Amino acid sequence: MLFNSIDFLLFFSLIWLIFRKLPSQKSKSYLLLGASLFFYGYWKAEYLLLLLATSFIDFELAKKIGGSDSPLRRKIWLVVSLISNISNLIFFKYGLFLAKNLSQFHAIDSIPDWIQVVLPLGISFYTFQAMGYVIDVFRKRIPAQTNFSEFLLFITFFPQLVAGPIERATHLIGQLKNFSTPTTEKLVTATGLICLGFWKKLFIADRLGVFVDGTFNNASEASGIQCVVGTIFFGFQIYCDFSGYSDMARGLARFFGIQLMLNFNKPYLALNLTDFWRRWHISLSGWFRDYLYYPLGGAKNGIATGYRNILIVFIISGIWHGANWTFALWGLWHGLGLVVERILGFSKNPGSLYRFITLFWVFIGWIFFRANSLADASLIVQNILELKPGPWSDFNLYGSDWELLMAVLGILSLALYEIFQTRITRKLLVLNPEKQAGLIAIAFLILIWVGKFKGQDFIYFQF
Amino acid sequence: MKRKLDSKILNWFLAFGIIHFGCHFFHQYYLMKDTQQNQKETLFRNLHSEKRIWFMGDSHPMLAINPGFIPDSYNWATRSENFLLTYFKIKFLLNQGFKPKHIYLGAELHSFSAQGKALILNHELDDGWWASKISPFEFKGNESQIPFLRWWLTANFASHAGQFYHLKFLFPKPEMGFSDKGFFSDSTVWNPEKDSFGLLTKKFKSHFGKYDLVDPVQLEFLNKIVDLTQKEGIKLSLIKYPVSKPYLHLAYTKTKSNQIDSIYQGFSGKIEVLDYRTYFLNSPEFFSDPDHLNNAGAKIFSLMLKKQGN
Repeated sequence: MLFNSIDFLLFFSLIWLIFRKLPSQKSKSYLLLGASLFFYGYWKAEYLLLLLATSFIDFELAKKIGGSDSPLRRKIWLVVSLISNISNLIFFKYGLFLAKNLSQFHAIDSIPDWIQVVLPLGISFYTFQAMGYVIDVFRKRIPAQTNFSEFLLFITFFPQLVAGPIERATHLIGQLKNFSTPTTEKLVTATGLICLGFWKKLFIADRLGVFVDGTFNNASEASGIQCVVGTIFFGFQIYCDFSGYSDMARGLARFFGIQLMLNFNKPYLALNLTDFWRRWHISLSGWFRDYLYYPLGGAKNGIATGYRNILIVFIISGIWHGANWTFALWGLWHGLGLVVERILGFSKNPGSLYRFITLFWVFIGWIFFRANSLADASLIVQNILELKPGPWSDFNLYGSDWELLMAVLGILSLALYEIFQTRITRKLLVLNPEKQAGLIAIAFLILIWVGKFKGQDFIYFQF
Repeated sequence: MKRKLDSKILNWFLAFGIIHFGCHFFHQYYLMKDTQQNQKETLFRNLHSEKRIWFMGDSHPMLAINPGFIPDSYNWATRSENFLLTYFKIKFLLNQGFKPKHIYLGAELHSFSAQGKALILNHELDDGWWASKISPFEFKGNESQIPFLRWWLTANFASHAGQFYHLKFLFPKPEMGFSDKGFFSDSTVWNPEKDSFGLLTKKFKSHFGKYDLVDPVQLEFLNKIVDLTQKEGIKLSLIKYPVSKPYLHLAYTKTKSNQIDSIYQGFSGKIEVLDYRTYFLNSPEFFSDPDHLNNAGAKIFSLMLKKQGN
C-alpha cells in the first residue's frame, strides 16, 4: 500500500479515527499492531508469515540473551540470531544473485527454481531493525522485551516498516508503550511534514523518474549531455523519493504521538563526504557505524585498519541496497572517497570549494547506483567522458516540454527550500496553527494540480 | 481555546474541499470541453447517432477513414487510443443505447505496446473522459493489475490531478479540424527522402522503443472487445492500416512483428482480419508522416473500403 494511494488514505483515516477513540494504551497498541500487519499483508499475505516467524525468533533469542548471565551463552544466542537474520536475507535477497554468479563460473549447472522467489517488501529494513534490537540487548543497552505483541509492533510499526527509518529499540519501544495524544498544533506540523513528503515525491521524484528511465534504460544510445543531465536528475530523484518517504513516515507516526528519527538532513549541502554520510540515510549510516564499523575496531587500531574498515562497511552498505555488482561498486566508490578525503585532510577542514567536489563525487556514484548493469554504468561514464554526440534518445519520450520545465522547477524549488529552510521554518512556526493549516491546505491544492500521479513505487521499497 | 482552534482548522478542511471540487469541475467541464473525445461524442450525439458503422482505434483510423465516402459510418478514433480505452468507450455507448451493426477496429503492430498502459497510469491525455462515465463495478474482476478504481476515483473526484498543463486551454486554441463525421484531415505530404526532422526514428521509438511489445493488458482488452461485440451481435473487423515502406521495413526487421501478426491471425477464426498494411507501400505521397495517411490517401483508402463492401 503506497502512502500516495487512495487505499492508504482510507486505511490511515480509519485507523487514526479509531485510535483517537480508544481509551487505553493497550488497546491502542493492539490496534496499531493489527493495522501494521494488515498494511504488510495487503501486499502479500504469505510473506506476513515470514515477518512473524523471523520476529518471533529474534524475540525469543533476545529473551534468552537477556535472561542469561553466562557471557558464552549470551554470545552463542547472539550468533544464532545473527545467522538466522543474515541467512534469511541471503536466501530472499541474494540467493538468485549468488546462483547466477555461480552458474556463470560453472560452479553450478543451472539456477534452481526454489531460489527464484519474490523479494519480501522491506526485508532489509525490518531485518536490520531486529538485528539492532538483539545486539542492543546483548550489549545490555535495553532489557529484553517480555511481551511479543509489543516487540512485534516495534518491528512492524507501519509508517516505517517497509522503507525505514531503521529505528533503534532505545528510541522507539518506549514511545510505543506510552502513546501521547498529539495536540492540534502537533497534528498541523505532522500534516506539514506529510505535505513536504508528497511534494518531494509527486512533484519532483516521479517527474524526474521519466527522464531518468529514458536515459539509463537506453545507455547505449544516450548522448553525453543526456547522460550528464540524466545522472543529475537521478541524484535529485532518489533524494526526493527516499527523503519524501521518510518525511511522510515521520508525519504519519506523529499522528499517533510517535517521533521517528530524522533520516535526511540536507545531504547535498554537505561540507565533505564524511558530512554527507552524517546527513544521508542517517538511520542506516548510524546502524553500520554502531553495529559494524565500531565492532570491527573503527579507527582505533591504526590508520590502515581504519581505512580497511571504512571500505568493508561501505561495500557491505552498497550490497545492502541490492543484489547487483553495481551497488557494491557504488559502496566501494564512497568508501574510497572517504579514505582519500581522510588522507588529504579534507574530512576536518574542507574549503568551500570542496562542497562542489563532494557533490561531484556523490553524483558520479549515482551512475553506478542507478545503472542496470556494470556494462551500462561503464557506457554511461564513457558517453560522458567522450561527450558523445547524438539525439536525446528517449529522454522525453512520454514527457512533454512542460514536464521538463516542471522537473527543473522542482529541483530549483528544492534547492531554495533547503538553503533557506531554517529561515522558512522559523517564519512558519511563528504563525498561528490555523494559518499554518491554511498554508498546508493551499500547498496540497497546488500539489494536486502539479503532482505526477502515476502510482509509482518508492525506489527504496526494492531494498 | 482548543475547540476554537479545532473548528478553525475544520473550516480549512471545508474550504479545501470546496476549492478542490471547484477545481475538479472547472477542469472537467470547462478546460476539457474541447477534447477529442468530447468533440467526437458531441458530434455523434448531435448529428450522427443513427450511424451504424463505427471506425475505432487510434490516430491511424482517425486520419485514414473519411466517412464522407462511406455511407452510414462515423469515425470514433482518437489519438493514442488503445484497446483498453476503446473497450470502455464501446461499453459506455452501448449503455447509452447506441448500437452499431459493424465496428472496424485498428490493429497496428504497436497496438499491444504498453504505451497505452503507461499513458493511463500517467492519467494523461483524455483518459478521464471515458473513465468518468463507467460504473466502478465495470472494473470488478479484471485480471490485469491496473488500478482501475484509482483511475475511476481520480477521473470522478480529482480530474485535474496532475493536469496543470491543461490550463493552457484557458487561452484560445486552433480548432481540431474534425469533419462533422469525425475525420481528421491532414494535407501534409511526407517525403521519406527529406525526413529532416527524423520523424521515422521518432515514430518508431515512440511505438516500439520503450515497452514490451505484447502487453498482456492490451491483449486482455482486445479479447474483451471481441467477446462484447459477439455477445451484442455486432460484427467486428480488425484492420491493419497502411504504413510507409521505410516504417514497415523498420518494424519488420527490428520488432517481433511475426509474434504480433500471429496474435491477430489467431482471431481470424472468430472475426474478420483485414490486412492493408502494404496497400500504399510504393506511394509515399499518400502519407502525412511515416505511418499516417494524408487527406489524399484517406480518400482513396476510404473509397476502396466502400468498394470492397467492407
